[in-house]
Amino acid sequence: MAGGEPAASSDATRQRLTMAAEDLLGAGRAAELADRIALLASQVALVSEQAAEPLLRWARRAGTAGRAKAPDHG
Amino acid sequence: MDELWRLGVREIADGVRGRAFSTREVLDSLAGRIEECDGGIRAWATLDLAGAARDAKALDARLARRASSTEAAGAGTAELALCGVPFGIKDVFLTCGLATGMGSPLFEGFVPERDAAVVARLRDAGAVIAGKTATTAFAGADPAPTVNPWRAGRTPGGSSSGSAAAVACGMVPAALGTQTAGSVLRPAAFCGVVGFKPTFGVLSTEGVFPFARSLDTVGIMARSVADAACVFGALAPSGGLAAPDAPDGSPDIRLRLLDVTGLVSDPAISEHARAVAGRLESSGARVTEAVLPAQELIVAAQSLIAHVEGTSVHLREMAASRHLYGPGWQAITDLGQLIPAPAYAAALRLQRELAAAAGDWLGPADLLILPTCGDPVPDLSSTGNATLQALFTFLGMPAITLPAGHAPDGLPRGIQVVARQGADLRLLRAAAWMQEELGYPVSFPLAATDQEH
Repeated sequence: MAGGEPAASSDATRQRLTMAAEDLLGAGRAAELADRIALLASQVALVSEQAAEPLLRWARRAGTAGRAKAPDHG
Repeated sequence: MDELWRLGVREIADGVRGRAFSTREVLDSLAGRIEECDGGIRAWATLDLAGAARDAKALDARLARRASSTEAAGAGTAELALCGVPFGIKDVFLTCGLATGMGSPLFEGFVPERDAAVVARLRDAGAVIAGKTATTAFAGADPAPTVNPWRAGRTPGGSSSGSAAAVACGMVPAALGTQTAGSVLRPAAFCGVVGFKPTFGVLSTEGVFPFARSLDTVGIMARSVADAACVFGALAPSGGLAAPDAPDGSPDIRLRLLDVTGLVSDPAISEHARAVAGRLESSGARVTEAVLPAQELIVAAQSLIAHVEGTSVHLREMAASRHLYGPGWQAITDLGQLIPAPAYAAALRLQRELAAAAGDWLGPADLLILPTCGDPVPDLSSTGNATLQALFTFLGMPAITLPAGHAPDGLPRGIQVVARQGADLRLLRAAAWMQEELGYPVSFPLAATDQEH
């Protein structure tokens, strides 16, 4: 994964969530929640990216690769 | 008998069972303590000392009959581990015949016709219910009216605010709470008591108002680990979950001091945890250092699950009665609707997989030790930061906070100890040893004061 991808993904997610908030809650409420929408967007982006291979990432960091299984895509 | 309010769970149960004193006498002493303290603390949503006295009368009569019969005194009541022990119950648990307001005007006047499963187990074990303790609305982030018994201008933590404050002040020896992020351990730490969150799913949440069912966990507050273990032993399903009566004599305690840099706002908090670990090491524990893998991912996935599941509970009522919710729940439901379904599904899958991986990472004999809270106790505008507690709620691992002295501002500090899933009894035994070795005396805040040190 390229170093800049998570930030780019987070920015795109923030744009999507902000637009959704404006539609659903109105522009005023979306503006009130802007900081929290930004945080939420970074969390959505992180979870979405990492969910693809969580065990392999964990295993690399924790040194238990031998016991890690491939994630279930079924 | 004036000082019975100072006794812990096991002391009361032993005293009542042995007829050294009656539950009614304990309740009378607690009533005096509540009268002395609660005007300023506001730990209670509903007090029911009259109802507790009725239950106590029935219990005392039962004990008297036993004692006068040909059976040995106490026979037939040996199974009553919580014989005559008064409890506070967080106001999100159903309690038969006792108002249950969920901390919200939406439930004003609601009186359940049955008990939550764990409340029923408490009664089966001989406990009496002194009342319902104040909670933040629906166990969320909008502060409850309770103040910190050590300093009136600071939060007691939340969402189990009243449970922690009541136990800290000696208004009850133990209380139940719930934790979806950090709602048992954080208030326990802020108020200077023990807070125990068992492995996810061990204690039933049936009859507990939900926040997020994938995270909600029933927890216990008391003033000693041994008392918390006694309550856990009475509540946990049968099957060898006998609670430890005393600390292990020769501990095999392997601690991993968790580096939580980045999640702690005050370096003194990390230094305090390191000092506590050092003291335990000098008492015989083995201490190594560790970093929790995927820390940021855990925080993110926990947040998504809590937002979506909390929204699913409240969305319909929020549309009809938004003005009856505080800003915390309004924000959760506004934000929760924005989270894409695939991201929520991914968060749930991560929870399963990371919890399993954590079990591989943390050996069966290992325990984690870290600060309970990453920030100093804040003022009354919030209930504090849940991040350091939420890590292990998400992973479903049992966690306990122990009183570990006071910060320079005079407010309590806690130290958190965590075990792998299912190792609840090992955690409790180790924590009991730690509490004894650390030797912080139980102290009761006499009354809240607005004075800052």
